[in-house]
Amino acid sequence: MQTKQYKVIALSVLLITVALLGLPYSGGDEIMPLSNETLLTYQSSSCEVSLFKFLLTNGLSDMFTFKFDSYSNMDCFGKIKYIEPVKDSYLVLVGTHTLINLLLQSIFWLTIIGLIKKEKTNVGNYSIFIILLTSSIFSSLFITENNYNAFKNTTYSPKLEPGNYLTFSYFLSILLIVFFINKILFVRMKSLINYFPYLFLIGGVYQNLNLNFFVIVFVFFGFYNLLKLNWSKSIISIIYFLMTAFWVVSERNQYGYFDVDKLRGFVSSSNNSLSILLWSLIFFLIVNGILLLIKEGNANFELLFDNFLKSSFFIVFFGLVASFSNFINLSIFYLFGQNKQSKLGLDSVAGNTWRGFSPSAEGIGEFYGLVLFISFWVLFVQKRKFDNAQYIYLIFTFYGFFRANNIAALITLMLVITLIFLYKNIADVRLRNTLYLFLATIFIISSYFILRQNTYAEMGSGVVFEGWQNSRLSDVPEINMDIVGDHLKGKDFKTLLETYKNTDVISSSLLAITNTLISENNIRILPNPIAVIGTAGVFINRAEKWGLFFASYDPSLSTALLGSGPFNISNYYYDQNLFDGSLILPHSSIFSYVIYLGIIPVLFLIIYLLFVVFKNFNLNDLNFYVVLYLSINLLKSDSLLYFPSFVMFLYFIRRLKEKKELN
Amino acid sequence: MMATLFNIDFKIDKICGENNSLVTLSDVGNNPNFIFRNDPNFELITLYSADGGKINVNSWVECANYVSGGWTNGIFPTVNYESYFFYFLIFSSLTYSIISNIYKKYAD
Repeated sequence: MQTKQYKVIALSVLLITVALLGLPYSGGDEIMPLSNETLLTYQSSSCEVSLFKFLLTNGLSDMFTFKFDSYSNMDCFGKIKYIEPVKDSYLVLVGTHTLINLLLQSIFWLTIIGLIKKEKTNVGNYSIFIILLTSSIFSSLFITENNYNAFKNTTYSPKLEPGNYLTFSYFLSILLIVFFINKILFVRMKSLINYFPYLFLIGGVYQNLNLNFFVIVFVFFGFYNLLKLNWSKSIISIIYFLMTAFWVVSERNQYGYFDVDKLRGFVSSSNNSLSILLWSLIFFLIVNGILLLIKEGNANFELLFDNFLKSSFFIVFFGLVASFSNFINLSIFYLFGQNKQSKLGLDSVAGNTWRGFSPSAEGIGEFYGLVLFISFWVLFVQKRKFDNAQYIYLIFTFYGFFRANNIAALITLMLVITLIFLYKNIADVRLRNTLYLFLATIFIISSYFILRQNTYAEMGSGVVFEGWQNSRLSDVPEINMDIVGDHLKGKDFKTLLETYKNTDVISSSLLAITNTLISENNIRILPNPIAVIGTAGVFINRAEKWGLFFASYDPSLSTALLGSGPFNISNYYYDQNLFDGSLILPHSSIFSYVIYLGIIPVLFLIIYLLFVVFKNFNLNDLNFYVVLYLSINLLKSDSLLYFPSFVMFLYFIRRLKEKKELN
Repeated sequence: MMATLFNIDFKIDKICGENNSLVTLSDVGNNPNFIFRNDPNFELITLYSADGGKINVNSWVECANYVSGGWTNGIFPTVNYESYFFYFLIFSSLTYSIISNIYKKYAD
């Protein structure tokens, strides 16, 4: 059976390759090799030469940079749309089309999932009803995110009128995808969750669309979870829907288009009321879907661990393969449904990081760190042996971790490993506690030496300083920036606040934290909360990024408390418009979710997380360490904005709460 | 906060590029007597209509005016492949349901 299924996968890869290369329409006249002399001929014969024929004639030279051009007619799929000379090379645009992408990519991913073993489930199948509900959500998104889709599809129209075949075909395609999700995945519900580490490898993002295949999957299963409502679930659901009503009706500046970039498929491209409603529903259903798959799934640690290792290995492997050739890079991007193309070349970028296959070096660093930690647990705590292949996977993981250069992940990894090492090897409790105390003292002393060039007052104001530094004060011609500079240098935030608090270039959140920092009503025995955030920010090198967050985050009081809706980041981005088109995230999952859900729900979630951790405190439980490791890292990374990390975090919290030992 | 809706027409941006002139589309409005003046800095663009019409535009505002009226910079495909795709999906779904029903009956 396995051989047969691998054959089906090979067949679907072949199908995609054939279609992408434009093989079915590669006949006709011979073409000339591309040069400055023949460039005009190529440019004037748009969508006439197939990619296959182009490659056959010109090869895979470094001179060509291949890119997909989604804004093409359907008959241009797999053909050369246009060639643009760029310095010493050529930008080759290959035509693609939303509908064909939907079809081909779904076939590939569904085929891969078909490899998972079928198992009987106790969950009742209400397929038709749920298929219709799921597909109607994602079909509606195609209409509500009209600017994004108009930008990507040449024949797009949000009007439901006869002749709008793009939209009707899209609806039908989504309906069929959900139908096959039900057909293929429902019977595999029991074991699906053990394969979640592969979400880091197969992103499931459709080319051309702000849509993720796996988001559809989790939304589909989310409906099933809602069929079994109990009291607590009902109350949470009612509260959530009240919040959704608030997000939908709250006053805000509306923006038709947000460039989703590396968050594609897991963020809204528009903040109109319907988009907010649909994305709020999607968020709610994703969480329910994850909970259902965990609850109904058969936890199999062996399998999960193996999948972590294999996924990690393939991520590094394909990251390396994609780094060598632009064409292979683009093919991998299409086949795996990545949010962002892999890094071309092996050079490190800012912060000496190499993200490779992943859209974020920070996020993938955390993932590699986790794989290494679980491997450590298996090898040294469970004292199991690895087979040869697993050692190879581990070597690749080490390489990926080293190149991702995520220092925070490395430090937390060392922290949890030290914790376990001492706990497992020193039986005498007093000696162990003395050692913990000794290490903590060393940590504090070394921290002091690292930070001793700064005073507490200096560090405490770090985030506020960066916030003012990055604000749009310089955009106002009447403001003398020399005077602002002098105030900043002297840390005179009181004068800054009093002078500029009524200008609309200073965000409400920056005003609030500045006010709190300089407030004279502090409780004397407690440190100022903004000073604590500032010191932490300086210590973990996040002062500038967090300062930028506060400079940009400009909510009303109600939005600050209750958020602007899940996946709605548009107002954070455009209300102050600081980022000049580039996607700069808040660099803390807490801040990211404050934008989405607001301060009150995020505080509740943090308290709930602490409650779960303390209630299930068990130094013999792997889940405890993993939640600790991930929580610390999420404080300074945006990982929760990425779908795989979101699923992973929820998975381990749930496992810890259920006290289901993964052993 | 004021609620404003920025409904950007990406097609105009994509086809006509950035507006570097002082004239905007709202200046044209519904005025049938508006005269489009050639912009020497604007590179000529050829636009096509669904019924086979063709026109050369010489300024950004002229281009934007035609694009907002449904003209585009690519020749309209004579064949609507998306309709073929739609019928292909309908046909495949029907075939699949018939075959799977027969298969089920046969298996029973």
